[in-house]
Amino acid sequence: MKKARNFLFKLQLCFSFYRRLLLISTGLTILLLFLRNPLEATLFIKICLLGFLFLNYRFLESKDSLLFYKNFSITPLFLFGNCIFYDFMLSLILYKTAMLL
Amino acid sequence: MKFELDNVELSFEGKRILYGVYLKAEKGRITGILGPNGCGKTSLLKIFFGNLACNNRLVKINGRGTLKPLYAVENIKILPQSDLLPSSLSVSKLFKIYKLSWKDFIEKFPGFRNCYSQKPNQLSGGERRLLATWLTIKCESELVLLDEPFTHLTPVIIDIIKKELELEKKNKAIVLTDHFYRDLIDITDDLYFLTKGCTRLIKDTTQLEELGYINSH
Repeated sequence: MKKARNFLFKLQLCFSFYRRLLLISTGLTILLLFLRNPLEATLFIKICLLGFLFLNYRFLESKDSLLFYKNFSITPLFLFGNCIFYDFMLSLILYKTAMLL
Repeated sequence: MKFELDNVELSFEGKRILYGVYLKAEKGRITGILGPNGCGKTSLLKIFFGNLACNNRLVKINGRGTLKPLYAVENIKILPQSDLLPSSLSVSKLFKIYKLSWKDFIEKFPGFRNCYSQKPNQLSGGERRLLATWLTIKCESELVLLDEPFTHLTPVIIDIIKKELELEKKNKAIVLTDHFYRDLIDITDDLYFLTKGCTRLIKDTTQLEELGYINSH
């Protein structure tokens, strides 16, 4: 039970990190939607962008800025893995909504 | 609980920074690290935490070695010299995340009374530092690593933080480094001096004079 609660807590923290990217990501998804970009291509672009962001945090100066999350035993891989998941969900919801409209 | 760091080797562009380091942190004790500027104190803490890759290191928890970064296997906290708290989260949210009482905090620091709904980037540098220090030392953890916790703080606040560290050491191991050596010596149970890539256990402050870290008068 404690482990499950701890896992949920980590997911919440990951979401608080992802929230900073939410607006940009939504804007980009809507733009790609208007350009009639297929969902698969949009997801690929998102993975590439998040991959660049991950490499930036992993190897450049901003490495220390993840210390807040590491203080809660959240590894960069777990953090960005979750971001990709949230981003996939966002893209799916936006594409499905557009299809319904 | 006992944490040990041994066999650390760190080089930057061919220059050896650390190569003969041993450090021990135990629950119930405060471990201090002193050393001249640029000797590798911050790097040492980051290696201990698992945030800095190095050529070699051995981290032991209760005598058992671990290859994974320490932060990934144990509940440990680090206070870096740079800003720790993300500006996207409000002070109230931070207290919830760290599971700490806001009331206890403002009892000690009434000046923060109106900051509950603010975000860290709306506070001054000193206020941010104090907030990050408080959250790091008071939060539940096994080991706390503090990199210059007294920097940017006023003497009155330093005294409060020192008292809190004395209280908190009953529940956790604490390692700190700072150039406020009098404050650091006041509260440390074990003191290491880091110079020329090696740590040396200091038994008497006169050794610091011999090493040229402090003046003899």
